Amino acid sequence: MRSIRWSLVGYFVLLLSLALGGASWLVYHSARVTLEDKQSAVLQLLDNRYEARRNEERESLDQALLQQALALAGRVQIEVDWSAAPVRSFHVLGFLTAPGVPYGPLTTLPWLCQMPHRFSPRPSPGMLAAWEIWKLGGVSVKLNESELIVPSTPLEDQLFYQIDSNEPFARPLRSSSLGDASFPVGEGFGDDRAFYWEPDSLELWPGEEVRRVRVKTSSARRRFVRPPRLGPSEPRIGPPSPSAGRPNPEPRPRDPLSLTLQVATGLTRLNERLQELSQERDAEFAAVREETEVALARLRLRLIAVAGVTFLATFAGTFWLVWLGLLPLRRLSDAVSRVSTRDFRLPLDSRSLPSELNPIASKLAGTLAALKQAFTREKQAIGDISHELRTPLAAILMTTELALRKPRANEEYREMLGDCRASAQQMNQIIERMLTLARLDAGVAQVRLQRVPVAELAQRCVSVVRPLAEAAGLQLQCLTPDDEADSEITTDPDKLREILNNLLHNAVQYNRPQGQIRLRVARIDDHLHIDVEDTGIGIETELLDRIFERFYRADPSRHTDGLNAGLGLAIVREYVELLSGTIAVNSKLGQGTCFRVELPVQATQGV
Amino acid sequence: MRVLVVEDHRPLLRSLRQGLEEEGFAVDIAEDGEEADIKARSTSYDVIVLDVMLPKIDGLTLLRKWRREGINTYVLILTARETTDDKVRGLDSGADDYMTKPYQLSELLARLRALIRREHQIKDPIIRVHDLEIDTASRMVKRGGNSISLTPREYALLEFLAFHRGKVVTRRMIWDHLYDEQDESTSNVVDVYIRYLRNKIDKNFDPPLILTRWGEGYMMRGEG
Repeated sequence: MRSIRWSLVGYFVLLLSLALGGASWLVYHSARVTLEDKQSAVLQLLDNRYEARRNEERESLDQALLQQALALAGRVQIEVDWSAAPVRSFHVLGFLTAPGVPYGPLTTLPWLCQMPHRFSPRPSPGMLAAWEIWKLGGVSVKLNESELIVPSTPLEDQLFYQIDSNEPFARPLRSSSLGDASFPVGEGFGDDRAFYWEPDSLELWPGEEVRRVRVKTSSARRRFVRPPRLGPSEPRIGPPSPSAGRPNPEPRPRDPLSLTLQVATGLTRLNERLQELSQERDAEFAAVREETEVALARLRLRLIAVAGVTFLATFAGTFWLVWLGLLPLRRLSDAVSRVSTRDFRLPLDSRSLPSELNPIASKLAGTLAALKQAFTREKQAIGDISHELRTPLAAILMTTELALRKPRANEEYREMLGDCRASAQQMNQIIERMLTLARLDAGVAQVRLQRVPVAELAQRCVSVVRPLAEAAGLQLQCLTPDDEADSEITTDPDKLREILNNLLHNAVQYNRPQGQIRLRVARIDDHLHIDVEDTGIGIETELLDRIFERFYRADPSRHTDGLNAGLGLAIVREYVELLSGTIAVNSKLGQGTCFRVELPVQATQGV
Repeated sequence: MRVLVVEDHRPLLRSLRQGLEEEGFAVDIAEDGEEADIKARSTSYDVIVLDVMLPKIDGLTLLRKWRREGINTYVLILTARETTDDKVRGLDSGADDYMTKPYQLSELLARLRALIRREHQIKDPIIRVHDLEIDTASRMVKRGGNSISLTPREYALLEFLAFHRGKVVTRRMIWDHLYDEQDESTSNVVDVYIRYLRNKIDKNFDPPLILTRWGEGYMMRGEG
C-alpha cells in the first residue's frame, strides 16, 4: 500500500536533491571558472614580474659591465713604446752573421733602420719608415692595473676583459683571467657610431658561459714613449702627456682612436640569482595555486554544508508540510472511521476542512445521512415486517393454545380454525408482497406484454373493490373512453391490475365516510392516463415523496390487516416503472388525493 | 378482575378475550385508540392490555395521554415490536409491563396476576385470611386444610373480597370489577353469588369470613 505522505516526501526529496545538486554544481562551476581565471591572471602577472626582474637582473649586470667597461675605457691608454721593439745594438759581427742564423736576415732590417739614427740625431725618411715598423711592435693598449675597479656587487664573478683599438698594429689588452682565450671582435661592430654598446652572452670556452658587454668608445688618452735614447728607458704610465691629454680627444681628426672594450663576467651569480628568482616565482605560483585550491575546497565544503543544511531543513519542512497538508485528510479519515451503524453522523465540522476536502466531506455527510435514513428505514422495515408477521402469528398461536386448553364443542373448534386460517392468509399476503418486492429488487420480475383493453380491465377492478367501497359508504365511479379501442395498449395486464387494485384499495382505506372515488382512463397522445382520485384525508406535501417508500405510512396508526403494511404503493411504483410508465401524486390535505399513472401505448420493457 | 384488551387484529382479540374470560377475568375490548380512550376513562379497569399499533390513536400516544391526565390503571403493552429501544420507549411512556408477540397465554395470565397483586400491594401469591387460603396462581381455595371447589365467578368474587379484606366493598364495586360490558345481569346477581360463596366458605367453618355491612356492601374479615 502506498502512502501519500511517503510518496510526496520521496518525490520532493528527489526534486530537492536534483535542484540542490544542480544549483551547487552551477555555483561551484562558476566559482571555479572565476577562481581559475583569477589564478591565471595572477600567474601571468607573477610571470611578467618575474620576467621583468630577470631582465632587470640582466640589465643591472649589463649596466655594471658597461660601467666597468667605461671605467676601463677611462683608464686605458694607447702606448706607443719605441723601446718595446727588441733593439739590438749594431754590431758588425752580428750584422755579418745574421744571415747565417735562422731568421737572422730579418734582424738586419731594424739594424739598417737604426743606422742613420745611430749616426745622426735628426730623423730622416729612413728613420720614419723604421718608426712605422717599430710601431708595429710597440703600440699596445695599456692599463694601469692598480686603478682597476674592484669588482662590485653584480660583478662578483671573475671578470674578463679585452680591449681592442683601431690603432694599426696595436695589440689588444687582455685580462690575465682570459688566459689564452680571446674575445672575437665582431666585424663592423658599431661602425658608424662613436659610442655604442651591446650586451650578449657567449661561450668563452667550453663550459664557461659568460655575459659580455661590448663597448665602442673613443679613447681618452694616447701616450707616446719617446724613442729610446740609446740606453735603457724606463717605461712609465703616468698622467697623460700634454700632447694626448687634451680634453676629449680627437687628437687626430683623420683617424679618431676608438676602443672596443669587451667586458665579461661569469654567469654563476646571475644564474644563481635567476634561479632564486625562478624559485621565488615557483613558490609564488604554488602559493597562488594552493590558495585557489583552498578557496575551492572551502567553497566545496560550504556548498556541501549549505546544501546539507538546506536539504535537512527542507526535508523536515516538507515532512511537516505534508503532515500538515494531510492533517485534514487524517481528520476526515478519523471521522469516517468513527462512523458506525449506531451513529451515522460524520463527527466533523466541514467548515474546519480546507475547501478541497469540503465537497468530499459534504458528499460523505450527505451519503451518510441518506444511509442513515435507509438504515433507519430498514430497521423500521424489519420492525414493521416483524409486526406484520407476528400479529397474525400470535393470533394463530393464541387461538391454538386456547383450543387445546380444554375440550370444546365442534362449533367452537370450527370458529377457532377459521380464525387461524384468516391469520395465516394474512401472513401469506404479506409474504407475497414482500416476495414481489424482492423479485423486483433482484430484477427477476417478468413482464408479459400483450394487448390489454384497459377500460375493461379498469371496470373489472372497480367491480372487485365496489363491495368494499359500498361497505364504507363510498361512491365509486369509473370513467372510460367511449371508444374502447382508445384504451387498448400493450402492457402486462397482471401488473396493471395489481397497480389499480392497490390504488383503489388505498382510496377506499383513506377516504372519509360518504366520500367519492373516481377512476378515470383517458388517452392523451401516445400515453394512457389512469387517474385514481379520492376525497380522503389527503397527504401533507412534505410527505408526498415518501409515500412510495417501503413500509412508509403517512398515518402510523392503522389497521393491521396486511393490506396496509406500507408495501402497496412501493409495489405500485416498481410496477409502473417496470411498464415504462410514470406515477405522480397530487394531494390536498382534507380534500383528497389523486394518483396519476401514465403508461405508454406501446410499452417497452422497463428497467 | 376487569381487564380492557385493546387490539386491532380481530382473530387475536377474539382468542385473547376467550382465553381471559375462561380464567375468570371480566374482559372489555377495544379495536382502536379512540374506543380504548373512551372505555379507559369511563370504567375503572384493573389492567389494560394495550397494543401499540392501533388505528386512529397509537398505543404509546394514548398511554402518555392517560398518564398525563392521571389515569393510573396498570397497563401491559402487548406488541410485535421487540427491540430494546421499543421496550424502553414503551415502559418510559408509562407502561407497567411489556410483552412481545407471539406469547403464551399462561405467561400473559401470570403477568396480569402479578400486576393485580401489585395493584393491591400483595407480594405473596397465596392470600391467607384466618384459616382460608387462596392460591391466586393455581386458583385453588382451601379452608382449614380442605379444598373448596369454586366456579370461576365465585372464585373471582372471593379473590376480589380477599384483595380488599378489612374494607367494605360495595355491590357497585363488585359489579364493576367482575362483570364485563356485555353482561346484562342485574345487580342482585352479586347477592346471589355472595350467598353461593358463603355456602362454600363459611357454612361449616368459624368464624364467618364474609360479613354483610347493611346499606354499604360486603366485607371480608381482616387479619386475625
